[in-house]
Amino acid sequence: MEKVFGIPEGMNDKKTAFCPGCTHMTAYRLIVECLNELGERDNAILCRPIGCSLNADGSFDIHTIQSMHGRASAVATGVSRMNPTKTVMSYQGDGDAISIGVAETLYAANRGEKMTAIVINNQIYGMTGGQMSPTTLIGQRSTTGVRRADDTGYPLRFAEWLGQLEAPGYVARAALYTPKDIMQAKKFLLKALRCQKELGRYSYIEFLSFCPTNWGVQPKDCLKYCQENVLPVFPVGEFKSCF
Amino acid sequence: MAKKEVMQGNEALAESALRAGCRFFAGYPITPQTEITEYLAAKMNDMPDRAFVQGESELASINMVYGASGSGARAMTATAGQGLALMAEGMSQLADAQVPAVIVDVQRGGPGNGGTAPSQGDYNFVTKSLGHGGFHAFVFGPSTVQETADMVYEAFDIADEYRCVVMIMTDGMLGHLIESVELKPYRDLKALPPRPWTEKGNPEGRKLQICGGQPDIELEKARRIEKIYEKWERELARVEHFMTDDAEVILAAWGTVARTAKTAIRKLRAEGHKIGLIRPITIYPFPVAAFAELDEKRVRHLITMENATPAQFHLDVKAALGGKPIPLSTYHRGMGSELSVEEIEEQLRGLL
Repeated sequence: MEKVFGIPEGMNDKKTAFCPGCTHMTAYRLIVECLNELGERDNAILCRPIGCSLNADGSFDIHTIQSMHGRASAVATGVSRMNPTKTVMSYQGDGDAISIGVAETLYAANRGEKMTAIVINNQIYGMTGGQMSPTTLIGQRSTTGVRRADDTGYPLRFAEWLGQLEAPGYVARAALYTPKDIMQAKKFLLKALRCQKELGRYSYIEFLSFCPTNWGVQPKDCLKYCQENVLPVFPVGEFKSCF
Repeated sequence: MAKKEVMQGNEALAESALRAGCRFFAGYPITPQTEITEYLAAKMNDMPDRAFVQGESELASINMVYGASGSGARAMTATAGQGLALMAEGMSQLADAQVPAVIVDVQRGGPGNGGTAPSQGDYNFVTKSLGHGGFHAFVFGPSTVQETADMVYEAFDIADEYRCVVMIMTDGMLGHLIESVELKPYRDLKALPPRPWTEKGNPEGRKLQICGGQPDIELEKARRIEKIYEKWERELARVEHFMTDDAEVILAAWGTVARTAKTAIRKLRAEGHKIGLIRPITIYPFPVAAFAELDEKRVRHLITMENATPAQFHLDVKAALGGKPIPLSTYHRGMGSELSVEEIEEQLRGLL
């Protein structure tokens, strides 16, 4: 019988420490699948951040460099400049890439570094236990308060921002919600990686992700929550495309 | 013998780093190190297999250096004062991940914004801990342009050998001083020592994982690194003894203060005074033996001088002396005004 679904080459069935309902591993899986399809997995270097993504330790087989909180795009810059034939990626959360590391993420994009920034946007600080992040929604509860526009400002639409820059070749946002969303996310990620590999240009892809634990939303209710609350603020789509 | 050239300290340092095989530099403008960044900006991007990036901050720059070095390239950054404070986070990560790098601190005044005049006020910050966590850099304290060039050339080898950060601590005076210097030849980038732990050196099939590990692994690593520091202190601490053989009064100083002090000491020696200088060349590892082995029957006074207030270097000398009954005093200033030959001479005369 033909095998139609399984663990992709370069991943294993090791149990990770992610919470039930989290979609981080979906993002990792897409990365591994796309690198496999491009024949780039052994030729790739992934700059990892500080945050929940570390829970994937040991579950995928890619060269990695651990970065300090927020600095993955700067680390990727150094890697990329010295290894122009490699596929270089950063994997960052929204707090990492858009708050503490906003300068590093923005400037790597504006310089047009030959790299792909992959940003998990779940509107909350996951690893530290649910504090307000740069993408926390208006009215959303966090352990550091409810977001109100008058004192904490608005959720930052970073992909839209980067989409206006000259240097990036590809900027998109996708959701890791339904199977259909995930198929689209994979299509976008493939484009982002091809933009780097084939055109030597910078690409940015934001993955909308579930965080049921810190949202206080049951995993089964996350889809409805996101369709009603997240997607109106963070629309999916391509904001810039070199293809 | 190579031709001697007349160069500014900062430019000689930058050129010597290129010759040592520095392939990547990222930096941010700050007085008084800016000439290093400018010199490399003008050269590196036109040289094969090298790259210069002007970082958006010191934070970004040090992390670019980490990425470049972690994936195979000899890499350097240079900064001063508050720029170094911003780099502390990245320096700590370099230490944790055991990724080598060369970091230059052309000291200016502090704390806070301080001033741009020369200072030795980063002494404690640089010698005691590489950012948070208490790991060390190997720290050179040159006092001439020639030494600056030689030390940065050697620094890359030390960094690779011990997988550590090597720091060169100059200051605004040495960085801007113009002297004759003999530079070492360009190293063949393809013939540099291998880095078997990098992505390029790893045996096939084993993926690079540059990161901190689990607590038990971290403790094992920290103990291994502590042993390296002990080895440095035993074998690699360097010191210059200047006219100390029969000296009864000894001055201890490092960097540019030691350089100025030599003029005063020569003058007093010409008058027949038994006076000398101990100059730590590596300020970490600190040359403890140079002080611990002083003959208390001969040496009747030891004075430290440094361009920093509160005194910092003085405390290392005091610790190295280990309670030996030699009277110890300090003369220091800093905060933007250098010690002159005349005042050093005056201070020393008071001890004769």
